[in-house]
Formats: sequence, C-alpha cells, structure tokens
Amino acid sequence: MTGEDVRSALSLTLIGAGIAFFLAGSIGVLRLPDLLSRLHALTKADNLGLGLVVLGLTLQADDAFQVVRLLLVWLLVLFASSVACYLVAHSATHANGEPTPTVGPDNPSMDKRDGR
Amino acid sequence: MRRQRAALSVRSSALGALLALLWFVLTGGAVSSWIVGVPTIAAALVLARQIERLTSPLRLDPAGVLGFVTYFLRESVRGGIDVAGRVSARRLRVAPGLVRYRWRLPADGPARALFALSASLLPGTLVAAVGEHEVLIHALDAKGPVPAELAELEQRVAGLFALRLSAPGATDA
Repeated sequence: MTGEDVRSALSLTLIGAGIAFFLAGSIGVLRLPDLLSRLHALTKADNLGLGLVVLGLTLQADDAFQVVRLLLVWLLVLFASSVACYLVAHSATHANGEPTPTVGPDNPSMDKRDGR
Repeated sequence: MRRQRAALSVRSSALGALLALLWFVLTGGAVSSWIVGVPTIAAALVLARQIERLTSPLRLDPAGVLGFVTYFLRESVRGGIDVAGRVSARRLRVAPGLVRYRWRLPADGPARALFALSASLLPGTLVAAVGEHEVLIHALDAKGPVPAELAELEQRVAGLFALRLSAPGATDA
C-alpha cells in the first residue's frame, strides 16, 4: 500500500467512526427519558462525531487553508450547539418562572416539558 | 468617559477585523459572499456593543491555553464515548438530576462564558441556568463525581486566562 492509500483508509475510518457517533446521538434522543437528558446525547455525541468527520476530511484536504476552514467549521458548530443547548435547557428549567426539578427515569411520565 | 469610548471603538475595530478574517476563511474569499458578509459583521458589531461592558483586558497564559485545548479534546472524546455507551446499553445507564455548583471564577470577563460553553460539550454535564453565585448543571448521572469534574474544568478555564481560584472544597453540590 502506498502512503496515499493509507491516508484514504484512515480518512474513511475516521469519517465512519464520526457517523457512528451521530447515530449514537440520534439513538440517545429516541431512548432518553426527558428533554434535558436528550440534549446531552445531542451535544456530546455530535461534538465528537463532527470532530471525527472533520479530522477525516482534513486528511483529504488539498492545502492548509482547507484544514483551517474545516477546523473553523467544527469550532463554530460547537459554539452554536452549546449556545442552542443552553437556550433550550434554560427555557425548559424556567418554564414556570422557577427552576423546575428534573424528573428521573423512574418516573418519566411526570415529565410534560417535552410535550409527551 | 472619553477613554472608555476610545477603548470600546478600538475593541470594535479589532472584533470587526477578526470577524472579517473569519468570514474570509469560511467563504474562501469569494467576492460575492461579502454581500451577506458585510451586513452580518455589522450586525454582530452592533450586538456586541449592546451587551459588552468594558472589562479588564484579556490575559491569556500560553501554557494554560495549550492545557485547556488538550483537556477539551480529551474530554470531548470521553464525553462522546460516555454518552454513546450509556444510550446503547440494553438498560439505559442514566440517573439524570440537577446539581448546583458555586462559582469560583470571577463574574467579570469571559471566563464564566467559556466555562458554560465548554461544560455543555463535556461528559455528563449540561448548563441549565447561570446565576450570580451559582450555576445550575444538569447531569446525566447525578450520582457521579459531577462537582469534581466541574472543579477541574473551572481550574482549566482559570489556567487559560491566568486567573487564580480560591481553594477547592468551597463548592457545594
């Protein structure tokens, strides 16, 4: 195998791993019991998932400019994801003007914040 | 007053230059992209002036920056694997709950903002509300060592900005 082949293989492996984390994040959104827990799955899994996809793509980049651009995309998405997550979490915990305690998995039926 | 205004306009121009550079890198320098870019940067500057209070100048510690970046990357990997493992187990391994954490970072400056932004991306913690003295954290596993992990993040943020924190242990969960 040439160096180019190794690089493509590594790149595809990283992108595949990234996609797996996106999938795990989506499974988390479906399985977790309440809104705030679901946000965990989205923020953490997508942070790592996109990070791995970006890392895989930098191996295929033509020049340093593209590498910087890809890293910048990752950072901006992280920033947006964290801010959006805070806004959702904040409005969920302050729905009645008071921070409401979250409900554990033992009693998810009590949790009406996500409209279930 | 005049000095404050001068400092603010210096800061605005610096921010404008930084945003323009960001836009240039993101769009690859396509001339037509500035049709969107210029109004966006102008709007960002107006917003920044509305929310910005004049604070002490930023001080970054190079070793602290490196330490923070390493920590953030390592914890991102741990966070992703952690949450993926918890949700793909046959029985969900979660015990969600809210944890109050008392700030040790100073209220002025960007340290608290960086802490809040990072905490939501790092394993098991999510910022639900930011208060004057406390921050309300939602933990995916409230029985885990949440305060200790938050204390470490706080320490790393303090290191990045070359700040000193009071001794740990003053935190209450």
